[in-house]
Amino acid sequence: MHSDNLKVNSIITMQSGLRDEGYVCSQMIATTLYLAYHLEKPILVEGPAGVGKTELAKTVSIFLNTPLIRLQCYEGLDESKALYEWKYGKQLLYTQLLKDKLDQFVEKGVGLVDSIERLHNYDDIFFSAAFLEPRPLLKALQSKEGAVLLIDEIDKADQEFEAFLLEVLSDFQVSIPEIGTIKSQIKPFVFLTSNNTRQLSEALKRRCLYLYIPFPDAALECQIVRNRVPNIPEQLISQLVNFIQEIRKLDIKKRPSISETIDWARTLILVHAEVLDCEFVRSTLHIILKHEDDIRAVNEQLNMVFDSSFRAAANSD
Amino acid sequence: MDLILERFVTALRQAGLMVSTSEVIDAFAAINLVGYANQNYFQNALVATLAKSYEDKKIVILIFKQFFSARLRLNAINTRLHKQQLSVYSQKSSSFNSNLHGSQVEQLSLIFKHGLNEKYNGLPFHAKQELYFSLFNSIGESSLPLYSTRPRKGVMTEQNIDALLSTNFYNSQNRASRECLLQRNSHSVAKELKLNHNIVNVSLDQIDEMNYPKMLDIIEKMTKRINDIHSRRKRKARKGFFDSKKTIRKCATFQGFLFWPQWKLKKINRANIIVLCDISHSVSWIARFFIAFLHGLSHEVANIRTFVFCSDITEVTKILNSYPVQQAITATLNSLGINMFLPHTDYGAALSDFKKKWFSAVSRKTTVIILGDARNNYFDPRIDTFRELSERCKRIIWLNPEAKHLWTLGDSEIKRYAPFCSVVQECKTLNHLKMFAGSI
Repeated sequence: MHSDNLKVNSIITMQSGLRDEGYVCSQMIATTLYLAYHLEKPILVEGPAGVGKTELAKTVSIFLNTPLIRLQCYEGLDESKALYEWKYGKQLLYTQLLKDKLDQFVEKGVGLVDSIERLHNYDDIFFSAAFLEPRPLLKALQSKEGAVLLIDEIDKADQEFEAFLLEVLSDFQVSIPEIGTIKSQIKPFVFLTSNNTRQLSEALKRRCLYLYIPFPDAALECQIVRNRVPNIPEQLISQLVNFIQEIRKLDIKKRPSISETIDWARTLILVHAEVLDCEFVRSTLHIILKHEDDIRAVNEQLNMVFDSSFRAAANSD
Repeated sequence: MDLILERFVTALRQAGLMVSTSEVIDAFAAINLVGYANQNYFQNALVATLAKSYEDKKIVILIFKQFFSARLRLNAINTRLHKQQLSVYSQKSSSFNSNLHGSQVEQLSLIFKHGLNEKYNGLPFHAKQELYFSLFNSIGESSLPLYSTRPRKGVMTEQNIDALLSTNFYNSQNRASRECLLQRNSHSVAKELKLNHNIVNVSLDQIDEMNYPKMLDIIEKMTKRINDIHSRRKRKARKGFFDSKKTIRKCATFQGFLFWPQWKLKKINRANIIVLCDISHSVSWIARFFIAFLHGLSHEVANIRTFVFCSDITEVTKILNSYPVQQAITATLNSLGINMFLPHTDYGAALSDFKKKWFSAVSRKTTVIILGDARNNYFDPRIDTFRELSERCKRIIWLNPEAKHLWTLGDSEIKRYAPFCSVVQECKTLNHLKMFAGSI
């Protein structure tokens, strides 16, 4: 990471820079990003699904003008998919192409032992950097212009993979048995995201700064919608945000996140709605709620929720 | 400021937060970057470096408010005090007894000044504080802004701190006392938070009703963790180890090529559990947490059928599966919608009822868990039926919420039921519940 990057010389410039790229964030988020950038530490971002954890990493990479390298975690992810793999095909091809050369070389040896010893001097050729296929982690470490490394949904990966990541997160280096230790030329800006479906190890958490992104309050959510959905009437923003805020207070399986709010706002623009009404909301509940039980539960209380949201909108005005 | 930050970290550790040295170093580095001028930045920097989970974040913010906000207000108050000219003390007589007149604030100021400088200087700090608080009470609380809300467990509210800090007792000359007050208060908050952290070892009958939602929250997290561990075991079981003999046998048709690897699969089944839960008044304080605990485990770990009884027995599995846990508990404990008669507990009658209606649900693979104190009100315990149940099922686990030394007293029949149980254990705390879950 470049500590002398003028874009990140203060928390306010960071916050306004992200806003210009379309990500409206709270001061907490901007402060944590600022600290992570200057302290050169990874960030562990937690929060409910859809609050903008992955989006944050993407926006930061655009803001800093560095490439984004993404590693999507899943159960069974291992070194060969995350770090490196040997180019087996290339190795086989080269050995075939160089077969004649090898024969000449081995023939010079007197006896089997001598021939094998001659080969031993060259046995690392086919296990060198030229035959290494870098995967996301190695690419991020070897990137000459720096990178934003997004390790998405780390809680889906195994504990073994977490243990493997420790060296990368603490020292920004990896150990490849055949080649040695590869250190990063420019330390990547590392984001780890988690939906908290399982407990991460303490060792991993200790190496990162912690950022929890909750559901936004009404004021922040209005700003986000305004930023992401231009040309939406102001009154409509206030109504839909307050409605979503009221829905989140209900006892449902999956609370609507910011991405659902934005999708709903876009839907309202498409149908040229200027105000929210009960019937329209009823017909578009499936955009903000993703379970049949939740839709049913909200339908039953729709009038009550509507009244509360209108009252909240009136109070905020 | 370094010293203050160290004290802040001490307060966090006392609250049960495991703050390591490397995190403290990160916190100092972060504070050097953002500075102290902006309170929000300062707080956010501490949260980012010292908290490692959402719960940790809440603790850091709470301790931060208690620890730093009083200090920040104190600076403002001190500035105000210096500007004001409080000449009232020099005009009054130095005698303690004759000063109980005039405005209340003046009286208190005199008491403080008098107590501090003359009669009570030799007393230790805490004794002086207690004396002053009792003096408040004797003068009359309602007229004072100082003790408008009685602090619980030594934790002072912001109003208390403000008011005390604005009296002459805690003026700028008395720095040591002020530091002591702030330290003591943050330690009290930290102690209370540590109690929350150690809540798994607190007996469930000591939990106030207002803490029930918090307890249910903790139980939900515990069951989530147990479900995690169990699902990881199941994943490992699905992967298994390479079974060479089986592979060779399977691949015989492929002329020896190991085309179809076979794995040693250790099957981990979901346990079949039947729960019989006494919901009489003597046991209801733990029954709610137990039901919440089972509710959480039923997602991954076990197939659970739940029955509640007092004298009659009825199945409540559907209620627990259909409603959110809090509602389900209330419905079950109030036997809403359940045809039950709740006089005195009769284990014998409940067992007979169970035998009549649901014995077919019990098989060799079923674990029966009974939650109850076995207090039968001297009715027939129906040991014969209980023996039949034990012969029919895989095992019986009895969880008794009473302390062990009470098991032989009064109308408790636990000693008669115990020979037919695989395990009889005390179950009063969340830790007991967790240990029991491991044995399912």
